[in-house]
Amino acid sequence: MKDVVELRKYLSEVFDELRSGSISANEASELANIAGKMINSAKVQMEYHALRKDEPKIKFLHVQEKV
Amino acid sequence: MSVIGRVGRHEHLYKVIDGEEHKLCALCKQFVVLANCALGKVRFGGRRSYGNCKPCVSKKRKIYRQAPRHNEVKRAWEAANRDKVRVGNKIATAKYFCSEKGKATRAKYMAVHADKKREYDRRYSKEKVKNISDAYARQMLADYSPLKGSQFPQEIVNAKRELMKLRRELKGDQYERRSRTT
Repeated sequence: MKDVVELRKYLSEVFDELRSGSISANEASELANIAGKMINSAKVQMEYHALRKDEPKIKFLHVQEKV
Repeated sequence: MSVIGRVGRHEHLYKVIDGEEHKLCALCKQFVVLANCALGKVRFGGRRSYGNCKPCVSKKRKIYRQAPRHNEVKRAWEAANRDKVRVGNKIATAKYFCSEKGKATRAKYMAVHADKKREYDRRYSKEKVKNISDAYARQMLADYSPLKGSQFPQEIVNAKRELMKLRRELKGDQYERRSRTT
């Protein structure tokens, strides 16, 4: 998982798989938990930089989506 | 107002009737009270020289506005400059909202339609939560955070939305299992 766009796509896939029943609820729950941790860690990084008043480019967040 | 305008070659345009100063309207050819004359700040005497009575001016402008050629030109310009029109409208709306007249109108409307507004707000809020709108996802991200919701990039907002969707689905599954066991 390189960036947040990939994470989003992956979450969307997990959602579809959960609906179709190809993965169990427990498995999906674990994946959601990990995704939550990833998003929160990115958030914490953003907050840290905001408090320090610097604006570095966080690779995980700043992605140009390919159309 | 200067008195110079009332002597010399403009003298015939002015007349004092019943102690009030009147000016001749070039369109209806009648003497009109000076207060009812359209303003023309750069004109001699501070009033418009042609079609100077207010009803005549408004009639003239109305005719001009309704002229088909004028409308065509206006629409063509608007079509070619959509961005300018949008910005202009936005500025005009903001100005009106901040003006005393706009505030009064809004207060009057709110007083009459308070229930309607409350109902709209409730419905909008419910829809926002149900559809996991951008605003709601940003609100969730900004919870317990020193950052504002608007400071988060769109990518993280989209990821948060997907995560919330998944969690909702899982919650629904849990609820179903719980209801089946009980």
